Amino acid sequence: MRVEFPPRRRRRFEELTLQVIAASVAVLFLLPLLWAAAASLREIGVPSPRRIDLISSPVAWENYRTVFRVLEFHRYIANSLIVTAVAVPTTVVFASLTGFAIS
Amino acid sequence: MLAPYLLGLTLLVVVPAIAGFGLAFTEYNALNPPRFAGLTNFRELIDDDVFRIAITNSLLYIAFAVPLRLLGALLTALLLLRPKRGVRLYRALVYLPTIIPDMAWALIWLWILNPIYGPLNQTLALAGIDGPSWMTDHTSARLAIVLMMSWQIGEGFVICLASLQDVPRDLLDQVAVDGGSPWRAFWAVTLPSIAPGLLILMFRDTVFSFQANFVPALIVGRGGGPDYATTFLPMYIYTTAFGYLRFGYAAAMTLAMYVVTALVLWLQFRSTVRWQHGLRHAG
Repeated sequence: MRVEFPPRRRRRFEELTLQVIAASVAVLFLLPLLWAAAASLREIGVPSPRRIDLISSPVAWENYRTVFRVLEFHRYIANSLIVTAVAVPTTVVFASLTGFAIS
Repeated sequence: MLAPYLLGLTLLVVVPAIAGFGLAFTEYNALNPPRFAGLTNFRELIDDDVFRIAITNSLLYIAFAVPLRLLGALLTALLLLRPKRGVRLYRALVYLPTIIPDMAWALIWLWILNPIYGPLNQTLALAGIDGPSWMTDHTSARLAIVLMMSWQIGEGFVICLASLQDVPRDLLDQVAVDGGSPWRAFWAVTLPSIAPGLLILMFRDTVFSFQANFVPALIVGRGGGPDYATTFLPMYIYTTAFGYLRFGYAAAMTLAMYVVTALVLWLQFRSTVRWQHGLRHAG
């Protein structure tokens, strides 16, 4: 059955639909990261769950401390920061120089 | 002002590339000095079954990944173009997967694609769908690589968004005043106006996609498996060079990959130039 809305209500309805679609798409892009974040809080050595649990029990916050203990994680972060700090300004400067020269 | 770029280009790209091409005509294992081998490497390439599989896989990957990534970028950009509540947040979320390093992204998907415990198959099970076994089956393994790469489309999304914001408003309004549908406005005004950006994006994404499946094949495909199903050209070149220490043969394959990439780009260019020309005059 076709329902005819008056124009203003129809506008509202369309806007709402678009809003819902936009939010769902955004969540779709967030989902893999959400799952990764959930996995990062799972206790080490516990068998994998047989269902999706976004909040594991118990929540293993200490994983984040462990990673800094067993790996030189602060060193890795520093390395990434150094490379980025050098590469990004260099790229921007040389790319804009080149772009200006050949445009 | 071109000097710094040309210097960098010569030292870091042109010279190594020429050296690499030279290597393609030698036998070289990184222990003994390279020995000239003429066309032996290329003769071997023709009979190499794995190389043929790798080329087919790579072309198949391009055929699915590039259109899907472009369409995904364009549709999300169209959806998030107009100001609406939370649109800035949504745009940021769409870009978010793109800033995850390749290696971390592959590890995330290794978990997501786990056929029993992975959240993807668990979600499918909620919907009553029996999910595929992903990385142990040929077709679904290839599909999985395409799928995981279809999330990292932030660059294309930004370019589409920028092109869409440049679409002349008055032309769109004119179509509306003339009683044309939004559908008609899209085909007559929006698409011709964003076509150049879209085409550049397609060429760029093709080159990118040829190379970007290396880390997924290495981590998620565990080295190109199952049974060579995710052995794309970069994966095979890497194994040949650093697994079997056959740098000359790997260089010959790299050269072949260049040719294949160029050929695909040329085909795309030839077939789209006319399309773009037609669009401009259809209006």
